[in-house]
Amino acid sequence: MQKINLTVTDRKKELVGTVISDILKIAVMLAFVFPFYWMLITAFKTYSESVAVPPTLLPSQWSLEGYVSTFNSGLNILGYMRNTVVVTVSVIALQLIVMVPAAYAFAKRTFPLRGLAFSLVLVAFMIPQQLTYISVYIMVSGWGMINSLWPQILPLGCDAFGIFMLRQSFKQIPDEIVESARLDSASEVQIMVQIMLPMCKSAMVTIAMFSFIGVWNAYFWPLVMTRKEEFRPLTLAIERLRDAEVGIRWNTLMAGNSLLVVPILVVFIFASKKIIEGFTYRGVK
Amino acid sequence: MAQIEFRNVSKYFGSNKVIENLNLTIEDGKFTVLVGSSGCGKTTLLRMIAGIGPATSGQVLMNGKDISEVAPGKRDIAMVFQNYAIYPTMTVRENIEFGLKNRKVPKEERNRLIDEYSRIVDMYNLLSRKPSQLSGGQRQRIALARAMVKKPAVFLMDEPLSNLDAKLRASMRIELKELHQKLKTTFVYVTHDQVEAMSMADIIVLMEKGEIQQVGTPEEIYHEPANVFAAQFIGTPPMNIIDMPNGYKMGYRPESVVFTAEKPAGDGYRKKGRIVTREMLGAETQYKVELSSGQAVMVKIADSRFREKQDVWITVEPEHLHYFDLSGVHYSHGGAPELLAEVVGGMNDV
Amino acid sequence: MSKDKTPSYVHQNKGSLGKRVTNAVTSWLMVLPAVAFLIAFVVYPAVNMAIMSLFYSNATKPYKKFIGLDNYNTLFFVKKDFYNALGNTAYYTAGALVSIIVFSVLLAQWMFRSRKLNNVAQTVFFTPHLVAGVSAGFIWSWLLSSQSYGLFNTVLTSLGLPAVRWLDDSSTAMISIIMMNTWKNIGYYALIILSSMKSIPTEIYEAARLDNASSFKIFFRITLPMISPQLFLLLITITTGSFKVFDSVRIMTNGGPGDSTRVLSMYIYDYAFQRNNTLGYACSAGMIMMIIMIVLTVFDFAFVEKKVHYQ
Repeated sequence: MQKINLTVTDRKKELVGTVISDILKIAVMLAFVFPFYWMLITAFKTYSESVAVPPTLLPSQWSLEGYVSTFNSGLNILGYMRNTVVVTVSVIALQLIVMVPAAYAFAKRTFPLRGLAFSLVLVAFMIPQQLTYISVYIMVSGWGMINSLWPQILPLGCDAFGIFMLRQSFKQIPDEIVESARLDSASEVQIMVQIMLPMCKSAMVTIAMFSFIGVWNAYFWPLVMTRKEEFRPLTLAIERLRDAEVGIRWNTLMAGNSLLVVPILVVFIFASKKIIEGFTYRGVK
Repeated sequence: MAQIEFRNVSKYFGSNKVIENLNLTIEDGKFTVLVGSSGCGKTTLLRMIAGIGPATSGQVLMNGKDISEVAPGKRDIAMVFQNYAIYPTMTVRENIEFGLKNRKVPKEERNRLIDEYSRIVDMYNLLSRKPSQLSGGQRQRIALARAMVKKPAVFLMDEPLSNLDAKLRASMRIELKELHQKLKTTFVYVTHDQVEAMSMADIIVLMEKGEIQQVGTPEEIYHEPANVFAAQFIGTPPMNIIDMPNGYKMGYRPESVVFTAEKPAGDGYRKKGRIVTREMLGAETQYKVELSSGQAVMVKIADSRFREKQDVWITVEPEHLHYFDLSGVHYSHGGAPELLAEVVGGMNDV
Repeated sequence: MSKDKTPSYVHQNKGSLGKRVTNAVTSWLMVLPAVAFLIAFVVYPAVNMAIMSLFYSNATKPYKKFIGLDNYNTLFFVKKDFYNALGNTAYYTAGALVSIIVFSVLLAQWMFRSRKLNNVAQTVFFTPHLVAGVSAGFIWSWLLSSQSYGLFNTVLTSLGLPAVRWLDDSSTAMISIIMMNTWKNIGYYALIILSSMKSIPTEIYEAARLDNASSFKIFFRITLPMISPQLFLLLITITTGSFKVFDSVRIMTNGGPGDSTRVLSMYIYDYAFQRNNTLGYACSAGMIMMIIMIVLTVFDFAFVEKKVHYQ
């Protein structure tokens, strides 16, 4: 029989370890959010303080100079913002209109060539969108759309992953519910709008959330799909701020950047649980 | 070998108290079964011994020494989990070897032990298999071998048979019993199944709501239940409990009833009733009888000749009658003539 | 992804032909917009790119002149810059893959226990993932500024270490971009790894502790092997994701210094839109990139089907 070693007080050791690990963890957490902090306080510094050596951790004088020069930079910042908002909202609306009926039919209806149609969704899911942009560009410019917001909206009208996700959540609704609605002589539209949609609200919110984050943050797609400043979103405006003739003014750039970052952070603060759940779901699939 | 002692242990999960100030000694070398319904704290006690769910306060002693602060791996115990907790990515051999390696047992010794114990549990030919290729019974055997190979002073088992089918469970009960006789170490076994407890235990610890109701041999628990709860927990069907006019309770086991068609002679507990249902179980027959008072009692006897809707007389001899006081604690067994008189006088049918 | 099975019984035993036709038409009306969008904006453009890669062309005239596989010939055997872009992409991908996997596994392990602090940590570590690549790129360009007022260099010099030229030095530029993207993504991948770690039954950990295994050993012998199917999938996700990297590179270095950070997606973009008459050539480079990525994704799908299920 083995002798029990009583000299080791393992639980005390463990406690000390936990405390050290917690302190370290908090430090790493602070380091993680530090870049955002640095962006915000730089935005509130005067230009001369932003390039002072050594850099100050807090503005010695809180200044709106960065924001003022963002709006006075000669760029129509409000116009860019409007484009971002219009494109984001339109994409979400279009996606829901296009994707919800399709996901419903894939989940709950049997029809000829359903397998073929669904394998098309699968194929589309595998094709990286970033590689189709050249053809899409030629196509939309051929349609004379390049001087409008449409090239930023239409090509994103249907997202294969969103269809998967919605279909999954429609499938979880028992067929008996659809059956009994039919027996109550409800029309297909009624079934979808009054019965299915309320039961899939969560999935729809998640899809809307992905689209919001994706479109709001989009840089590459609008870069390719626009030729004129008046149709460009905020992401591209920030880049223009950097390339201003006066050289890089970091307080201005960070002020502009914060216009892009803060709305996302605010949404995250209010819906962090939902967002984290949605992203984890997408990652695990 | 080891004796385990709980001294004033309490366990809280947040503000939810599961066990409060519990004291218990588990005897060295005995097969002790902790039994009770789910949530009674039996698994919590087991996890305290293992060290994987330490007590909130109080001490756990092993052979008189406090082990509350000792890491689980250094406690000289082994545990078999309900879902076996086999390491799915390791082969059968690696599963058995893992604990030995961590204890720095030399290679030749390890191989010898794996050889020996895999033969004992009849898994020798499957040593290179992965757990996903094995049946439930086989996984169970790996879990046992993995525990045995450590030659622990205490064996802990948390409902190890509950995931097996009925037939396999019955044969594993006997195997575990034999194993205990061979190893002669302390076994602590947790179950919610009273049949399992009765058939395997040297000592039963009956628990309810975090408190110990009774500690005793299966015979003691069956014949001398400490309270109404114990009387009704053990036995199928449970003991019949009848309220008495003075607030006391009387009880008798369905097995100790004598059944007659005619009114029996003599004094004592004699009741008239009518058979409501009859279940023929083979060697015995179980009847549900409605007494003239309206209360239903269960009767289990060898005689299968009685039929449903038949009027019968129930006789229970004084030595089979149990009495429980106002708080449900066992008051008297067989004796207590004053209570019997009350029963006979106030409750008997004429 | 689960395979499409159940024809749900809802519409199966339909009687008359007329009813069946109505049903088919209704169903197709519901699916059609989605199918049309996917064909128009995903499937057709992909096919079209393959065709364009066989032409000498520009953005206004996509099919100027058929030249067969000439673009591919130029790509592999004439121009040397394609290999440079491919190499840079491989460098970035390998670096991002290793650092993201290693750090996110460590982070997940660190946040494993269910505690309030760990919930907060998950949220905090995830935050950068939500922010635009452009925004993150700008913030890090600012932090990494090689001017004397750059924050990282201020910290380094105050510790007595030499200042680094970060994005302005071809030997550190790519590493800086990898650093930024590690910061941006590990919180997300740690969440996924964490959810797979949490699906391991707790009894297995308890059994290992009873077997006297150290935390180190539990991690390497139990946790890591058990999450390996999920890790393998992440490996592919991160690889395909890294292959597409564009925004952060464009903002932080725009391919420089020299061509040291010119990755494949940027290379294709440049040839497609910034130069004359090289659209077909860009398409051929895009085809190579697409093939690499599709192979990886198909691999991914095949693996999901065979994914090991324990117990």
